[in-house]
Amino acid sequence: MRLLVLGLNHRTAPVELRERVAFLGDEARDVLTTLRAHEAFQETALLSTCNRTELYVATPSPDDVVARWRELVRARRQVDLHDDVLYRHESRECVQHLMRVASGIDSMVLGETGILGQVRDAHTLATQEDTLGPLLGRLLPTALHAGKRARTETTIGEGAVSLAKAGVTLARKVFGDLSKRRVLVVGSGETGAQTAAHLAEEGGARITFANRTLERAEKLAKLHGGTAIGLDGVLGLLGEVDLVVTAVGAPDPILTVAQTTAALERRKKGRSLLIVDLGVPRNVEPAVGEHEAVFLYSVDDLDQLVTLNLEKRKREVPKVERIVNEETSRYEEWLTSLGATPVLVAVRERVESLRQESLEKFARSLPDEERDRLEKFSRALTNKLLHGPTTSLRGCDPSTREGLARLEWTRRMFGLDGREGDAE
Amino acid sequence: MSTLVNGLVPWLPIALLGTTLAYLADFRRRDTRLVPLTRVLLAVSVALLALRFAAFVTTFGRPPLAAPAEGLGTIGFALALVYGILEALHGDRSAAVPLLGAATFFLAGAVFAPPLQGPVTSELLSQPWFGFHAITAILGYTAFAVGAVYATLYLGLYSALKRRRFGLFWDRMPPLDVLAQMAIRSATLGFVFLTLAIVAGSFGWARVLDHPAWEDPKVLATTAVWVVYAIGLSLYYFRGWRGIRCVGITLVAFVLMILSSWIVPLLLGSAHGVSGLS
Repeated sequence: MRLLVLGLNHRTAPVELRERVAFLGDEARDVLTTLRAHEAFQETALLSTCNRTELYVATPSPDDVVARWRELVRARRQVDLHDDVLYRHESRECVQHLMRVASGIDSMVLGETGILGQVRDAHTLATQEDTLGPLLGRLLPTALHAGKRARTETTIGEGAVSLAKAGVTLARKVFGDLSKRRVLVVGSGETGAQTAAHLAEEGGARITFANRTLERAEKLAKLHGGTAIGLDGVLGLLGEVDLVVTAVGAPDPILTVAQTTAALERRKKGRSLLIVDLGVPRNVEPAVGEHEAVFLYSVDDLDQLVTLNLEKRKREVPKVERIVNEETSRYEEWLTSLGATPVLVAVRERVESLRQESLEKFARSLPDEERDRLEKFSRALTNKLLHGPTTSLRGCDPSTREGLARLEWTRRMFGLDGREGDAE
Repeated sequence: MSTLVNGLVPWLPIALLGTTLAYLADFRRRDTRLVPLTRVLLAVSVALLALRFAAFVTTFGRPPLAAPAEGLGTIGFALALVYGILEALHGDRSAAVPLLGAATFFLAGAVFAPPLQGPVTSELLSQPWFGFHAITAILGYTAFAVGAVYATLYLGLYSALKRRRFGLFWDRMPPLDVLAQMAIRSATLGFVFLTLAIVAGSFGWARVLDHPAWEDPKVLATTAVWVVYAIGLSLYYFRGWRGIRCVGITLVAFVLMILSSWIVPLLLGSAHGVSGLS
């Protein structure tokens, strides 16, 4: 049996094609059920996101899998997956590819964390549909483990890489804990909503949404648990809030120096006010940032921060690649140990070590003669006990799903795998 | 016991230098595996310093303040101790490198500075009120120094935020508000110790000196420092002042403290010439 991945992603296919080939929710479930009916698909998992659709298969006949996958996509999506769009990796390359995907270094936004959850979802779905066997059943948790290691042992996932998130990062740099801070989000468009979502993730911040159309502000307030006001209430709140995010499509600034000076007079002396201006053209007059207590950032400033963070993440890629290679090698070692002879040898060694251990414990104080008899007895007993499993294992064919499953089950039963607890 | 007291002296700056380098590596790499190492090294260094201090007081019946070497060693110990307490209480590690670096510098100075020549001539050092006065004063000045370091880091981060310099310093510093709070907390701690030192000093002054305390230039300068800190802290606690204004006042007060501690006695003389610090 061979491991195989067939896929397309942001590097090989345009967004229009990726959208068409994405299988989400119940449709993904249905795809797995359909494929399971074919003999070529011994084990299957489907990873489908907005940026990639990948099919992982353990199969005795890879070419059949490719043909049937193309057929299925053509039938369901009326799309032909040509060679220039569809990539194919087998054996070690397949294992390595999934580790890289889970680690975030194959993602469009380098180091993004969402992919780890998506790999976990793919694993859950395949488990529910019973399309996993010993090979993919081990590979997916190992990839999740690699992904977690990448994020804990390196800084590949650190630093904001979107403008909205960069605004929140700056707020944390000024105020630290945002949970008791008052926030004013001016503008209820997509950018305002994104920023509010990131602020809500921080938890506890009291957010007020201001918009020309009060209904839209109320909608966001309901979604993120804040309050809503019209644009005319913004100046009144400036004296009380800690963070202002503006994302309004207006030709002229909505906050001028004259307006903000009066509002700042009402604040405690020196109390910081962070203004993140995400509007283009800018919503806040640049001179507002000259006040000693005001920190004002425009889209360009945030973009500078995002670029720096992406460069930092790029520098972490070699460390992540090392983790990927380590986990790939560990998976391959495990794969090699799944042959009938290695499992048999390991079982016998394990039983012999247990026998010796018990003998040492119980026969230590016995006279030599009795000790010899106990030794012979224990050897005869273990040989007899192992006779059945030995005969059964000799008949295992590791190239079939059943044979592999039986060998893996034996390894687990005798506790031969020290890393069992590492993977999920 | 005196073998232990003298034998430890050269090892103390070495231990603290190792600790400072570990904190520096942690600052540069931000490797989470270095955090427990730095904490263990700091705990060991402070324990060694405390052991040496306790052994000294037990052996000689006075605090180690009779010679420049003793005074520098005590300042180094106080710096490391105050930093260790602040990290244990608030978890902030941003000021570790400058503070522990300074402590290492003072301890190294204690190795090379002139030791005590002959017996201690001043009986003051063996009097309990004086010991309390001197130690609370040192702890107070140390806490002010720590506050000044936080205030300087605040100014650095404030400048980086205003000028949009998102480099290593910006990345490694804790939030601006945390730095301001640490500066104010350290200054508050220093203010409490300085108040105790002034009270103890006033108590003892009448017993040993025949002229009034307000005629002593250092006493006047120290009182001025106390007043500036009192104004700054009142504005923070009672008038709601925040940010760069508060931090600025603590820095001004710290500069005055330096003047009152070293420059004023040097230029105008003082009755504070009994210890190795003056």
